Amino acid sequence: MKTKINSLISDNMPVNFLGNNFKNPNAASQQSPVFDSFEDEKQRLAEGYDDVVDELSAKWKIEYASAQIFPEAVANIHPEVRNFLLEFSRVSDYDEISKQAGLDEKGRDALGQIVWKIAQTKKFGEIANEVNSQVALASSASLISQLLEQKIIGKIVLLSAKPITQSRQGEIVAKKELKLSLSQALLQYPKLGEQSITSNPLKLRYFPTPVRSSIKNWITDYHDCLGAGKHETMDRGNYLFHSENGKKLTPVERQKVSLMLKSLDEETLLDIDSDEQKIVFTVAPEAPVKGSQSVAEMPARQTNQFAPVARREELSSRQAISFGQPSVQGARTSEEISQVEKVQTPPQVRSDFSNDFNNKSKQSEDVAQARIRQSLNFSNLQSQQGVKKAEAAKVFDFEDSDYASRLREKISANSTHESDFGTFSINKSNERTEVEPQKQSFGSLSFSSAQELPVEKTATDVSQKLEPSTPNPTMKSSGGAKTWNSPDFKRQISPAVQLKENQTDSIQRSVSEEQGSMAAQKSYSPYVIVPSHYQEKSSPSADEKKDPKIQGNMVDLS
Amino acid sequence: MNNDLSALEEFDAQRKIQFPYLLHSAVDLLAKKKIAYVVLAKKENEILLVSPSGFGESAVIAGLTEKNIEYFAKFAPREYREKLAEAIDNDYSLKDIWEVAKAMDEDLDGNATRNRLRVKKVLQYIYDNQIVFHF
Repeated sequence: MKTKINSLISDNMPVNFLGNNFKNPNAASQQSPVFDSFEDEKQRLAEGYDDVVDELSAKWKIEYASAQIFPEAVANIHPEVRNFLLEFSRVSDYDEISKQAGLDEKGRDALGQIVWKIAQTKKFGEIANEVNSQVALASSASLISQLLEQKIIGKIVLLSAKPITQSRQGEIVAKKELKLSLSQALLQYPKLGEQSITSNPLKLRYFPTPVRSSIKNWITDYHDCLGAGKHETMDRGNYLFHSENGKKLTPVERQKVSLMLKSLDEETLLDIDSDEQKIVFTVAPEAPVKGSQSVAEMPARQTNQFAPVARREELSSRQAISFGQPSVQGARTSEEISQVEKVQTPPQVRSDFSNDFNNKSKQSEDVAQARIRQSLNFSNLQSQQGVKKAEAAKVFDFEDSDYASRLREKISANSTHESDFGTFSINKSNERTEVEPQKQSFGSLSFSSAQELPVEKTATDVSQKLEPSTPNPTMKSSGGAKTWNSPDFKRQISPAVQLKENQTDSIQRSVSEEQGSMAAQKSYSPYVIVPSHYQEKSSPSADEKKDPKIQGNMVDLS
Repeated sequence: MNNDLSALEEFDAQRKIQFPYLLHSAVDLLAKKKIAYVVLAKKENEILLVSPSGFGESAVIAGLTEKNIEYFAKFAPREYREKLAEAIDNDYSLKDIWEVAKAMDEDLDGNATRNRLRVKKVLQYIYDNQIVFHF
């Protein structure tokens, strides 16, 4: 029967659905693909589990970095004594002593308390008294104290004499950092090969799936690419920058792999943490990634991009100041530095080192304004590449009191002006153009919106104060249509309008008197609200001539 | 995360590491025994990754090894110690620990006392060094 079944299997069932070959009775002893994949899966899970443990350990260390480990009474004990008493083998010691002294369970339990008390008080000579007071069997007290001294107290005395090397509460600095070459380290500490040194998994040439970026796997990949044996620096460089795995490395990771491979090839020494069985990499921190730069870095970078060489020097020196490094200005005056300072950094950045530069009033400026100003600066820079460097440095200073006049000169020289907001032309004949030099001198911009920026408002106030005889600047001008920001414009452009209003009022009053009490119910607003794109056809023709043309918030005074 | 685990596998691993006492609802002896086996398999560097409240569970204490309790006594923060001391001071909890250890021995052999001896030593160690567990 059995042979019949065997023959059936061998003839008709060559391979089962799992891939096991039933034909060959020895097939079970050979590793099948199923078992291979099962082993791989187990290994993958085990490695993943270890990684999770590592990550949680790192988090745990951070979380409990400043946690209290021991009660105060124990924390004051010499760390090595404490560690000695906390070794599990003390349990056996106490058991042995209690056996030798014939102690009961209660007496046995008292031994630990006695030893801890002695360690705390450091009264090593009073052990007999302690034993007498705590152990019921007074007859064996001397024997117990003798045994305790011999096995435990003697050691405590020795350890107490050692100098304390304690990093933080409860943790002794016992990290032994060795210097070994990679091959030696791998021989001594096999676990070291499992240390992950880069973030991305590796693709090995002769392995189908990505593998962990452990030291072992990196070495495998290195040898797969360049062959076994030692390699030159150039080869290593090529591997690090052009190999499939090397291309994906970040600079810091590349530095780590480079150190490791150099040690592999040239037997250079690496710092090994023998306790954790890891290589201690001391590489420079990674430079900030483009795009993730901080706000503080932005203006300097932008300016460096556009500024001529001389200005780059200025900027680099400014950066040195900002990071608290000694000044390397050379012959530059503080005025020049402050000029550069004013232009190149937005107020927030300046506030970092405003103590060094006395421009506190600018700290409260709007960031957006500063950015726009900067963009204007850079466009100026681009348009004035032919201008001398020293002159250029002055031109960018909006805070400069002479800036407006210089700008006007420049504008008259170049009728078209390029900015980040597009090209706009400036009418030479008309001083009051869209670019108002006076406003620019306050570092503000004009917008078509009815709103006024606070700085603009201040500028208007100042100009009004300077010209008390002309309360309304728009009335004074004799240009085309002007914008007016106030919504109750009719009231403000008084003489003509008020005259008209008075006339209207008098007419209305006379009509209402005529109509008697019935008409008295009608109330009149002091304002005449005129919707945009609306012209009152019924208004008197005499007034129509005087009335300014109104369109939205635009008043045509011509 | 630098491992090859899927999100679900990673979550399982985290749960096993941090909350082994929640893997099985510890209402019956079998579940408690399973938890104790999970804790028993832990290495020294993993034992403190179990959340502090776990050390108030009798099943977790029943799974502590000599090495693990030594590591715990040397490095565990205050809240861990307090939870353990609380559990040890409770008679019901002590009885439960003993029951779990006994059940674990029964799995090995009828006469085996390996787990009970281990638990006895661990409890003795805690008692000898109770000064470091009581705040």
